Amino acid sequence: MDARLRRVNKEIADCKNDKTSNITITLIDDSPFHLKGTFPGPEGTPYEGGIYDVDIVIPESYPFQPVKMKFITKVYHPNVSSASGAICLDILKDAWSPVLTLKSTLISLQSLLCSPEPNDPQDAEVAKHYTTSRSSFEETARYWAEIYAGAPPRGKGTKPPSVGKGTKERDEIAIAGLERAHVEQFETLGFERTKVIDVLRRLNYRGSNVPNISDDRIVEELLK
Amino acid sequence: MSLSDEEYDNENQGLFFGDEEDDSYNKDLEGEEDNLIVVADKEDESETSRMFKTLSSDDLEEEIRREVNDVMSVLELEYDVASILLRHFRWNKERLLEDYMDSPDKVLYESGGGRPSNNNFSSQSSVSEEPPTKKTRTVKASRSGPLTAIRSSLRLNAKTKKSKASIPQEIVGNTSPSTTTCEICCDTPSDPSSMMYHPRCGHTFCKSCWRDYTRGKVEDDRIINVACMQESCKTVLLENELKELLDENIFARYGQFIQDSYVLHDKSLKFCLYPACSHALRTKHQVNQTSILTVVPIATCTASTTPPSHTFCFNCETRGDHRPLICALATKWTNHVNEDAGSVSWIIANTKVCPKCQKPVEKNGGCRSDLEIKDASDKVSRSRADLEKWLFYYDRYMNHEKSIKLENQLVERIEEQITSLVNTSQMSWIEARFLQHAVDVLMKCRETLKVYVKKQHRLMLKDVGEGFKEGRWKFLVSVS
Repeated sequence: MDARLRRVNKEIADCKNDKTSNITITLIDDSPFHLKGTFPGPEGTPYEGGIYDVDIVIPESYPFQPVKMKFITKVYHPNVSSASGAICLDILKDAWSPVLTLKSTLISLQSLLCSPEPNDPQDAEVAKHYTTSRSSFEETARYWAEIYAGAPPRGKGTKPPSVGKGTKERDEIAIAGLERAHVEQFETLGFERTKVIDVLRRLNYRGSNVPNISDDRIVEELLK
Repeated sequence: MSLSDEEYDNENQGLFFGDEEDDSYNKDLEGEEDNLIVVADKEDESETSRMFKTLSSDDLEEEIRREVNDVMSVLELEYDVASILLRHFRWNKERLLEDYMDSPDKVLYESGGGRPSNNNFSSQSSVSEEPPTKKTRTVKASRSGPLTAIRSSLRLNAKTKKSKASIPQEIVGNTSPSTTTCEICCDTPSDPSSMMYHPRCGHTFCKSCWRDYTRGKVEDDRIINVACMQESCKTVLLENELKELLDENIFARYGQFIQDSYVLHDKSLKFCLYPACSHALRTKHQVNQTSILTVVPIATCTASTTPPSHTFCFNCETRGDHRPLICALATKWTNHVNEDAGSVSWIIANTKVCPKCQKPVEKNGGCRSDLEIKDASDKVSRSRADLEKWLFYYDRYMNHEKSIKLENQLVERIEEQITSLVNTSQMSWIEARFLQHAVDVLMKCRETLKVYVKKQHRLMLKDVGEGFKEGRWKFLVSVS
C-alpha cells in the first residue's frame, strides 16, 4: 500500500481511538487526502464553546511536505485571515517536521487560538484591532464565535447576540468590532451603513486610536 | 590582497587613463556638471586578468575546504561540524568565531552542528506539562507554544520517549532496536537493523523515509543544512550521512549547492553569467558606491577560449562590455530602450511627422495643430528636439542590435562555409579559419559601435563644442 495512504489511515484511526483530545477527523469527499478536522475552541479564550472546522488537504509528498490547512469556520484572530480562513503558523510552513501528525497539527491550531502573534499577522486589520484595544478585540472574537462557531451566548456585552448558528440577522457593527455610536454618528451624515463600517474598520477606528483620526479624514475616505 | 601599493596605483592608472585618447576625452569633459563620465577605456586582456581571477568548480571546492579547515583548527572541531557552522553563519567566519567564543554551546545548538549531548543546551525544550487550555500558557510566545502543547498532549504513542531532543545518544541507542515501526510511514520493516537508520542524534526512522526526506530537502528546497526529521530536533545531518542517504547524482548536486551558497554570500565572488559556464570570478579590488562611478569592472571568464568570450560587467551583471559608459548610465540606457521600445516602434510604424509642426501624427487623420493654442513654449520645443535626438541614437543603437542578432546566425553558418571551403578548394582547415576571424572582428566592431552610440548620446546632452558635435554626428551618420 502507498506509504502516504497507510500513514493517513493510521492517523485517522489514532484520532478515533483517542477520546481525550476532542479532535475529530472526517472525510469530506471520496478522497482520503481531503479531510475535515474539528476541534473545540480552547477554554479561557473568546473562542471557548465554539466548534471549529478546518479544511485539510494532504499533499502528494506528505509527510515530507506540510499539510495544507485553513479554517472553514470563520475566526476572528490576528493569525487567521477573516476572509479566507488561511492560517499563519510556522509548523504549516518551514518548521514542519515529518513526525508531526494531523492531530498534533490541529492541537497546534487550537493553541494558536490561545496565543495570538500579532507581530506576524495573517490578517493585518484584525492584528491592528488586537494591539489597539484588547477588550474590544475579545468582544468581537467572542461575537464571531457565537454567530459562526456556535458558542453559547455569554449574556454580557452591549446587545444580545443571535442564538444558534446564523439563525437571526447578524449585527454588522459587532462583526466589524466597532462602536455602535461611532457608526451612527457618520450614518446621520447620510452615508450608507455598510460604507461607514467598511471605512471605520479599515482605519481601525477603535479604542485609543479614535482621538488620532479626525472626523474630516473619515469623511474624506467616505467620499472616495 | 597580495598586490603592493605600487602595483595597485599602476593598475588604477591603467584603468582610467589607458592611453592618450583618454586624456583628450577628459579634457573635453572638464567642468561637466557631474563627474560621472570618466572614461575607462578598453584595456588589454592582461588588465582584466589582473583584476579578476577565474575559479573553476574544483578551485571553489578547494577554497571552501580551506575555509572549513581554518575554522576547524581554530575552534578545534571536527571537519563536518566546522562545515555546518560555517554554512549556518553564511560563510561569515568572523561572526562565527566571535559568537563561538562567546558561547560555544549556544552556537553549536542553534546551528545544529552539536553532538546530541550539546542539545541539552535547549532550556526551552524542557516541557511545561500544563495542558494547552490553561490561560497562563498564553504568556509564552506562540512560536514555541504550539510545539510545547503538542509534546504535552502526545502521550499516546511511544513517541513521548523520544520526542525530547535532549535525550543523550546512549539511551536512544538502547531503545532504538525495539522501535521496529517507522513513525513516518507506519511500516514495520522485516529487517530493522539494516532498514532503519538514525543520524548521530539517534532519532530512528526507516531508511526509505530518510531517503525521501533528504532528497526533497536537497533537490526541491535546496537546503544545505538538512535537519533531522524529528520535530524540534535541530541536529544537521553530516555530509557522510547524506552521502549514505542520497543518490550519487543528487549528492553531487548537493556539493554544487554548497558552492552556490558560498559564492552568493561572498561579495567578491560571482558566477560567470554565461549559461552552462560553472566558473566563478573573484575580483581583487572590490568596487564601492563611489568608485563605481569611475570604474567599470568588466570581467572576462577565462574558461572560454573560443568566441563568444565570457565577458560581463561584474557590477551591474550585464553580459558584454559596456565601456566606456559607467554602470549607472549603461543601465539607464538599457531601461530607456526597454521601456520606450514599444511606444517608439508604434510611433515609427503608425505616424508621420507633420510637415508644419513636426509633431508625429497618426496616419488616419489630419494634424490638429491649427486648432491648438499656438504658444507652444520653448520647453516643449526643446523637449521635442531632445526626443528627436534620442530617437536618432535609439535608431542607430537598435540597428546595431539587430545586426548583431543577424550576425549571430552568420556565426552558425560560417562553420559550414569553412567545411565546404576545405572540401572544395585546396585550402587547409587552418587557412580557412580566416572566415571565422573575420566574423569575430565584425562582431566586436558591432559591439563597440553599439556602446559608442550610447556614449555619443550622453556626450550630446553635454555642452560640448559645436564642431566636435558636428564631427561626431557626421561620423555616426556615415557608419550607420
